[in-house]
Amino acid sequence: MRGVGPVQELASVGTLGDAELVERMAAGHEAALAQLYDRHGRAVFSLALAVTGETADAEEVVVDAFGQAWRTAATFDPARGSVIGWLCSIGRSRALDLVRRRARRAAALERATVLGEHLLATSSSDDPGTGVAMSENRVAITRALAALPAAQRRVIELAYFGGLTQAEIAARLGEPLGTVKTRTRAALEKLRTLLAEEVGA
Amino acid sequence: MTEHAISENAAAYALGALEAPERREFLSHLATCRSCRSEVASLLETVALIGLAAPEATPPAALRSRVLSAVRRRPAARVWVAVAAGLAVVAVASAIAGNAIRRVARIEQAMSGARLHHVTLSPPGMEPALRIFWNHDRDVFVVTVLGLPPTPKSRTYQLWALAEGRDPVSMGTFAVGPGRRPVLLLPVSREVNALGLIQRCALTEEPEGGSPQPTETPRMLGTWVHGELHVPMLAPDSTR
Repeated sequence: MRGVGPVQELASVGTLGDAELVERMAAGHEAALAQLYDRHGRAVFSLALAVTGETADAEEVVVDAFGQAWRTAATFDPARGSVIGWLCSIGRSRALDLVRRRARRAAALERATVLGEHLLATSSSDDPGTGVAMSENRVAITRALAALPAAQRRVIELAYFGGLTQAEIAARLGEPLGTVKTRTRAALEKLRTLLAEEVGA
Repeated sequence: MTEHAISENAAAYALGALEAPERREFLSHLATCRSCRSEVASLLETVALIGLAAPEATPPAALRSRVLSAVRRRPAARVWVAVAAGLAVVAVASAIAGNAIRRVARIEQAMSGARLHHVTLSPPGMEPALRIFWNHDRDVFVVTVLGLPPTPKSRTYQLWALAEGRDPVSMGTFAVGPGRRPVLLLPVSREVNALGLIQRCALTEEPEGGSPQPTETPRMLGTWVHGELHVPMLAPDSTR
């Protein structure tokens, strides 16, 4: 973009939607990456910390995740889902990889079961930490998870944040595999329904 | 396995919670079942948002500059995408516009280096459809499309690295427009690098955006070959 100075470019990225930012990022515009980090870096960091449990590990995951987003931006398809969903998927993969690489699974699994209490405590629309209203998506998923029966929420937490397979979840909970499968399906379908109602997507 | 049991696996699949043998079985089912495919696609969106339920934590201020400086070392692959005429343009000295020369020069740069594997994919008994060069020093695949049908609406081509006894690992996706023979750069992901010895490469057609695992049997396969590549260099100041 000849003739567009950095200040001008920064001023324009703030007005772009997420999908347009990813397009810009795919074309090599660092300002677009910076803006995406400013919008969603906290969410990716929070997710990484929830999975890895260590700040230093979470930071490394965030660097990896945004690096992967930068390199694969051209493959993002807005028709398939949201940019925040895409970033969370990348962040989750990188975080689970790191946990497996560093064999810190035991601690990670402990954390995955503690999330349940957190969700029940913070299903209001304000983040108790900062007093700032949470994003619409965050409110929706938090409420939706809180609305699940505890047993269903548990399998989702273990699968998502703990990275466990169904067989591993069944072994950990002392439940039959078939029960875990049914609960997983019911949980995910219910989440999908609740999210569709909340966000109107 | 009944239809009902399979759709129970759709949720586990979307969460990445299937054991490897079940995942393979489910994938071969997906290849033939459109309703399961669309179910999986919609569940994947739900799963993607679960991460937002993590307790909010503020990243250290220094993380921002770490993220930005990490990408400065690796330019975005998209900048180099889709030179229209494939590798042949490097050798043929017809009139080429200035910015096309820069794009070709960048592709040449991506392919320079002694550690190089390449693979040629052809449909059985037919002319080569694409050739891929793997530059290990620069962690990049250079994909030259020699002849592929254009990707249908809402579909994409996806490349897979195949290693003995391992699930296919995606190398990336790309689309082909009618009559186009693009040259593309795809970054080499950590997953591909982690595979170790990779024997073969496969091409499938997937829903737009790609799939975590192939949903059809490969349209074409090739075997990776180690070798040096001699790319006829187009001198920076030659325009004819």
